[in-house]
Amino acid sequence: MPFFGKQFRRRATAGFSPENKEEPRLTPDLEENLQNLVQSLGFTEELQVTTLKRKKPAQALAYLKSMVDVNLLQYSLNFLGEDKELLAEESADSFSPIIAMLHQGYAVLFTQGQSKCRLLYAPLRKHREPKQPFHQKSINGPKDGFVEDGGVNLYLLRAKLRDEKLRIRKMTVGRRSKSAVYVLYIEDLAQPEIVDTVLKRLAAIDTDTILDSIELSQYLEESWASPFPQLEITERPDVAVSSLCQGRVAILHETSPGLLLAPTTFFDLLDVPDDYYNTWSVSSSIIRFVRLTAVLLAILLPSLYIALTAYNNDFIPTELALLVAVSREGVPFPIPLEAFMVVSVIEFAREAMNILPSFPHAAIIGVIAVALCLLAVSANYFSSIMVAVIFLGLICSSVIPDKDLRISIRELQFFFMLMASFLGIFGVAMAFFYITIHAVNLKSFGIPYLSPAAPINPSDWRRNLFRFPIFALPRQKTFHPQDEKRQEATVDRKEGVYLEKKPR
Amino acid sequence: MRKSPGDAINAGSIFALLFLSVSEIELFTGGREMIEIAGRDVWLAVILGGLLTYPFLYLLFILARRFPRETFFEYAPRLWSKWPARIIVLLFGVYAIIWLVRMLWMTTAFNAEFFLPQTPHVVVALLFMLGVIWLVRGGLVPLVRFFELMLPFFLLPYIWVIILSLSEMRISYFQPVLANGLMPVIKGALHYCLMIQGLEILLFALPFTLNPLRSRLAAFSGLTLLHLSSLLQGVTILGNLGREGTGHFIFPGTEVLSSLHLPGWPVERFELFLTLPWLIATFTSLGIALYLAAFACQILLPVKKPALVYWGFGLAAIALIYLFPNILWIHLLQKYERVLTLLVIYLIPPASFLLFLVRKPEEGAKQW
Repeated sequence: MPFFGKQFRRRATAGFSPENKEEPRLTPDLEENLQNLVQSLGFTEELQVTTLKRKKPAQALAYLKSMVDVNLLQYSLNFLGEDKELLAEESADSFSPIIAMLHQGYAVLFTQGQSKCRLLYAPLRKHREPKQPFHQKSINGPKDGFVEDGGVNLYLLRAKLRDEKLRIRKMTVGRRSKSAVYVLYIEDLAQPEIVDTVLKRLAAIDTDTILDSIELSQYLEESWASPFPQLEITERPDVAVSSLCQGRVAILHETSPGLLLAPTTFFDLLDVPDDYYNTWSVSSSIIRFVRLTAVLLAILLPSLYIALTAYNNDFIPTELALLVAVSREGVPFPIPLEAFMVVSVIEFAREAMNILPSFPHAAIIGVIAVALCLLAVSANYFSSIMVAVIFLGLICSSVIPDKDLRISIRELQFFFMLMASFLGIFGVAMAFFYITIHAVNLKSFGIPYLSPAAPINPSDWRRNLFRFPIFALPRQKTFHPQDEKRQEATVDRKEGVYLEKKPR
Repeated sequence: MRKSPGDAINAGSIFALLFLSVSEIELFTGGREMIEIAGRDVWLAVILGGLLTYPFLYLLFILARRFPRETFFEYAPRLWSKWPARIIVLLFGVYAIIWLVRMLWMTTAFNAEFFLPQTPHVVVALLFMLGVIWLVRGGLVPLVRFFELMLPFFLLPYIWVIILSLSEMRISYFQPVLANGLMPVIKGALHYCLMIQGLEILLFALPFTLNPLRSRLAAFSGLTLLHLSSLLQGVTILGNLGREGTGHFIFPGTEVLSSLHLPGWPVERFELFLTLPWLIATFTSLGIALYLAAFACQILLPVKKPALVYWGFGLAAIALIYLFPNILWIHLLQKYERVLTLLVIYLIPPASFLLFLVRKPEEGAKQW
């Protein structure tokens, strides 16, 4: 230990308790300050205290071993040499802020004869490499992703967005976890009302711990009872930057790879990064249409099948009705019950695949589920058409890119099936109306959830419903950005060259 | 009154609002009455009646522009003074309740005919009203958003069935033109004007719009599309069933589609394509009627909990449908409704405008 002197360790006899003891304050006596620090922490296994006796006046450096990068600390102290005055000064006269700083990776330097201390930031960073997120993969796009370290995530964002108007507000949430949450927005784009709402909701959180972005999102959502996710979660820096440039606000939890984006609309949740990385925009538009159709089919297909075959079979042509009748020959269950049984098998398998630890296990469960259904068809428990319809619904729901929305749609399917089981096609229509009524009443940070379809905003359709060429994409008016004009490249089609970029 | 920018309605939304407010069950039944009155010249009657509605629509806009941030009920006392204004609001309320009850009756009857013959009417009515109350409780803005979202689901199948039914028309059913003179055409046109219920919603929606000029364009487009669909409906019924054939059916629009046979299409009953448009049209019109009735009640009575009003009117409408044992009674009710339509759309707004010119009241002055 070339720099650190004698190690100073002392076991605390009693922890500091605000109920029965007045909070100690910093004094000019170095020994007393160290004593108080140990007592305030209530444990010393983690606390490393090093006295610097060669220095006059005497100094002591205290830090938590698990939170501080010792090499970085030593390097910093060597670099600073004698000029410790450069260190940040903590002017607080109590120990509470000092202890909070210690938990964030600061080292505290006490000096004999001074009732103030100095702080040096040398956090120990342990995180994985920024790899492509598992659930949001892109074939053509960048391959980096957020990690469980706020500092690295901020770097990833800054590397892609070097706008001087990017604002980062730090807040602390959780009485015990004291987690740092960063609120990011572009000052001249994001609507101040939305930023204020985000900050107010964060400030209003009063809980012990917030361990992850998902937990955080539940505190920020407008309606907890809604099946629709009201905040988008992304692990991709490119998606985050693109959203910031639309006037949205990003919320980053320091130890979570998921970044929350607010406000969020239904159509944002159907976006896939590769929509923007396909060179031919028409194909992206068609893929989006397919995705929207898949959402509708995922919700409606099983319920429509129940309604049309069990109740309103005059709606379907005779040939098709006969085909259904033949496939159901010998099946002992009524159609609604049969549908619920097939869907249940799939849901059980899906849940098992989620819980089981590795790919081979999950694959085995998948194969067993398919084999089970086939066996049930051959044993006349299920009809083949029913299995085909339910599996098609499953495939359609798998097209939905957002995990939370995907689960919600799967659960909503049960509601539709229930309505179809009792009321046929009329029940399906009523269920559709109810869900739509809920969705049109829903808002995310004041923005209508179904925007730009309701309220209709045709200019945003170029981005949300279709995908126009990248140079013709407007800034979304949905989020009421302060600057609605987007700088677009002016293209001379005849010459085939891009002219000088100019603001419209 | 619009209270915040979030309450605003896009100009384009007025298109959806107007089209779906006016479109209701008559879209599928109204053709019969029109053919009974105007005979082979039903198409002329619809065109003439449609043209007659445009000046009134324009008048609604002029009136709304005089009070850009207030609904009709809010500025009515300044034009009519307190007690006449209360009577007018009451008229609007009664009109909306009659409209609500008649539509709910027709809905349950139609539903029993096509979808759920064994289900008690009360179940169907309750399910409908549950959704409508939930929708209307949010106010006019979510109502309009619902309309916007439903518009493509309404229009796409509807246009499809109209195109289908054009395929088997006979031109001879329309000839000779004006065989009975102009009178049936004029009568048919006036009757058509009275069928256009729902225009009055503009008196309540326009204060929420941001761009009056675009709203006007959207409203005129919406009304034009409505007239076009009515024209096509009348023409296809007459062209497929003929004048005599139309009288045999309660829902001639659906009969036209039943008679269609397109080789190569795996569909046997094309009228079932109308299921979604019919349900949407009914649901949206019920929403508008309940909104108007509840709004009128809130103006007239000091109601502290608006939710109670919506529930009250909703449940009352369900109870009232049992007062009408058959469709003849409903037709009688409809006659009274037509009189109120005349008052609410074609007399009170023009008279209000005249009063405005005479009295020139200030915006934002004391109301009730």
